[in-house]
Amino acid sequence: MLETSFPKIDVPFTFTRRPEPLPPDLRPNWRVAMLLLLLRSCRSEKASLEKLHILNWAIRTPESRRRFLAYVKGNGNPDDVIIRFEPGLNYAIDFARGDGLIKIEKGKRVKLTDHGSSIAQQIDRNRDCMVEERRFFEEVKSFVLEKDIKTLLNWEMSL
Amino acid sequence: MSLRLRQLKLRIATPKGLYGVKIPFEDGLVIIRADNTTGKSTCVQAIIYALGLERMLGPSSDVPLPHVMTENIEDEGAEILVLESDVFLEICNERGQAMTIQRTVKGERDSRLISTWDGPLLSDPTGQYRQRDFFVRDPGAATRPDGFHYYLASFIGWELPIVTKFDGTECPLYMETIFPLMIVEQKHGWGGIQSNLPTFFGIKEVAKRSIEFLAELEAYELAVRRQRLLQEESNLMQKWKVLLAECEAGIRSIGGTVNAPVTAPIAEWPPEIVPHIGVFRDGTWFSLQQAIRSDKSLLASLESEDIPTVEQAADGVSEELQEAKEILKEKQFLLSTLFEEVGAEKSQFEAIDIRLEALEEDLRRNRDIDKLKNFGSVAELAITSGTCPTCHQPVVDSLLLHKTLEYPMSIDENIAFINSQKATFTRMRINTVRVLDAKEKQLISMHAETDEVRARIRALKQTLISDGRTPSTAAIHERILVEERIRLAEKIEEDFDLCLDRFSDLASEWKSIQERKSELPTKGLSPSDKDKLNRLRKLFIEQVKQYGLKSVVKPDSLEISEDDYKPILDGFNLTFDFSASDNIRTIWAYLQGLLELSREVPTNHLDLLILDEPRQQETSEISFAELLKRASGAARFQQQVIFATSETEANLRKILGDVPHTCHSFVGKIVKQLDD
Repeated sequence: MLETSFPKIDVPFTFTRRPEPLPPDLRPNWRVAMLLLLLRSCRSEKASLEKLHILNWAIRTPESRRRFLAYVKGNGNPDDVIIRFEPGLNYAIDFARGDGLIKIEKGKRVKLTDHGSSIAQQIDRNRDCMVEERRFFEEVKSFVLEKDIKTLLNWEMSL
Repeated sequence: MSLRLRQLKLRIATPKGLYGVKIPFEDGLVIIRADNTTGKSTCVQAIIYALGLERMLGPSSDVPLPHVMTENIEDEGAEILVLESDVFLEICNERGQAMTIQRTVKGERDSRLISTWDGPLLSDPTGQYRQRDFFVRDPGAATRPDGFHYYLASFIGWELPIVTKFDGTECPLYMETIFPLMIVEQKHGWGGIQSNLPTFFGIKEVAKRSIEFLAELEAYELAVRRQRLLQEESNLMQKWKVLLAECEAGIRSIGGTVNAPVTAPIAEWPPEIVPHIGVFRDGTWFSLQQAIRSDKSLLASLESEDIPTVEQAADGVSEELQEAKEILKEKQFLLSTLFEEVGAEKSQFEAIDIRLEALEEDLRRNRDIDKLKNFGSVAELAITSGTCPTCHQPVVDSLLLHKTLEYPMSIDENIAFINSQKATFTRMRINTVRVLDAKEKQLISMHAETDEVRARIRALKQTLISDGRTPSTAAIHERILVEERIRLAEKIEEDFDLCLDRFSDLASEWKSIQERKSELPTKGLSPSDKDKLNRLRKLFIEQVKQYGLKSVVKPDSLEISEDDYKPILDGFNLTFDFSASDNIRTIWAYLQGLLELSREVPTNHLDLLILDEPRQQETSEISFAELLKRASGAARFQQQVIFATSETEANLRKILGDVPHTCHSFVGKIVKQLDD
């Protein structure tokens, strides 16, 4: 039966491996550049891991950026900010450290090296690159100090 | 059209007083002589900088001047800090009007700012001149009235054409793309004809467009005319759309839709099937005319009978009331179904919009990655080259655990992938908008119908409880209702027809655009263009012979390509197998040829040619002498040719002989301490 309904395909098979799509924020280049810009927007170009993770999560999508901004400016809802620690950022930090762009101070603060700082400056100067990200960091800068991060995390834990 | 330089002044403030230089420029051949590394190129670069043309030296935003203008000056071995520095340039145009330009290199003033005076401030500082400030570098410097290149273009009499970019948008043919045919800077300019041409503006066929403009070829005029027609065409399309929207807005109140709409302009009006109004009634779509006809016959049959009294109508009325209640139930059910459908469609629509926003974001980020990768210092990072910065093993271009994704798309592939998704979702969105629109119109008419049934029920009830001798309210109500419906429908139809009439004007306008478009020749050069290229060819061949070109046995077989207007031999570009010094000779001959062409025929050339160190690649002295001789002819035509060179003075004197020229020779550094 099968023989009649399915003609025999008498050709050699070949398999071609197709590349898979990947969201741009999972590319090391993008994430490292984002990390550099983020650190550049911080005081003395350094930040705690927690802060990096919170902003890394906040910058994901236009929607998450809107919500986060609304929240830190005081007109959001309590469930607007959900904090996730995404392993991708840790990889990016490793890469950036390997390339000598950042260093880790006293095991907890991430700081731009001189090299990293100069690259961050160059990316920042290129006006049509990472426009939304830079705008977001600029807007959020004065609202997310280290002590705000602590409040944010404590609030998370008290739930 | 002309631009001639009158004087250049560099002014550098240091703790030890003012440093700088003043160089006057006369008509004809002007030679600036100084030894190597003493600041000749600085002067040429300063001219480029003062004219706001530094982007012809590259897209970088840094000031394109050496450290003598920006950091420190060397004076007898001592390094002196530069506090502030400015470039001044006095120029004049064909009408003899002078303009002086000041641009700050280092100092408090924004380097994107250019100050101008409408007079010879340098040669006659006592005069009263109006000062105006302009900006450069920012988008709009060539298009906005406060942009410097906009102002400069009108000063020299240029009307910058609008050209198409690779992304489909339009921009003016920026001056930076035209000047490489008149100013050759030493560092990058001697690679070939137009080797300084900036390509990062993304202008299509920019090399061709700039030559066409400079030589004022009709091919360029044609291209501009074609551009204009395209513009007219797109304007008309816009008007067409607006009118269509107006038609649709007019019929919205009866929940109507335009059947057989003509969405894109056509040349003959009316079309085969004339657009007409469709309305949704009793569960199906009718044309408005059908609906009016059936309403009219209903009204006629109602009017043929007298209005019954309540008593007469009573039996029928209670039956009708029952019937109407049934109909109402049915309609309400249909209405709620439709309502749900519209809701579902709306949430689908929102989902598509969210998806599109996410795709847009992904696309933007991917493009950013693309830019980052090409970014000097980022390109050097280990992650960009796909190796681990610590162990130098190859790593996958991803932040996921390596096992889950072994073979990610390259950025280009990923961008193409997202673009195709975006196209799909955009089509889906268009479709959803259409469906949603139709359903919403159905909803409007269903609501209206339900309201009508309710009103009828009220009227029927009213009839049943009134005095038996009064006329039946239900019967009167029905008549008024039908009459009102007809009146409204006829009015809307009338307005719609008036609206349609206006399409006929647009259609004839469209026809005329299409006719003019088809009249434009599509290929080949006009006779006058051929003549110009022929003259250019003659001038070119004459010169390469004079300069002693060796790589070609028979220079007479050289031609100017009709495709890119560059010299070719047997259909091939010259640079390919030319010796380096012959390459330089062809650049001389071509640029000098364009200058001489403007003496014979009308062009957009500015009668100005600036060559920084024309004697490149050890071109022989004899060739150079011939070039100087040829260039000195400029004086007879009120043209200006400026050469910066490091030939020794004795040698120059020997080469120049009795060639008419002006020479400014400098001993030691050009930039010196100023007396005042």
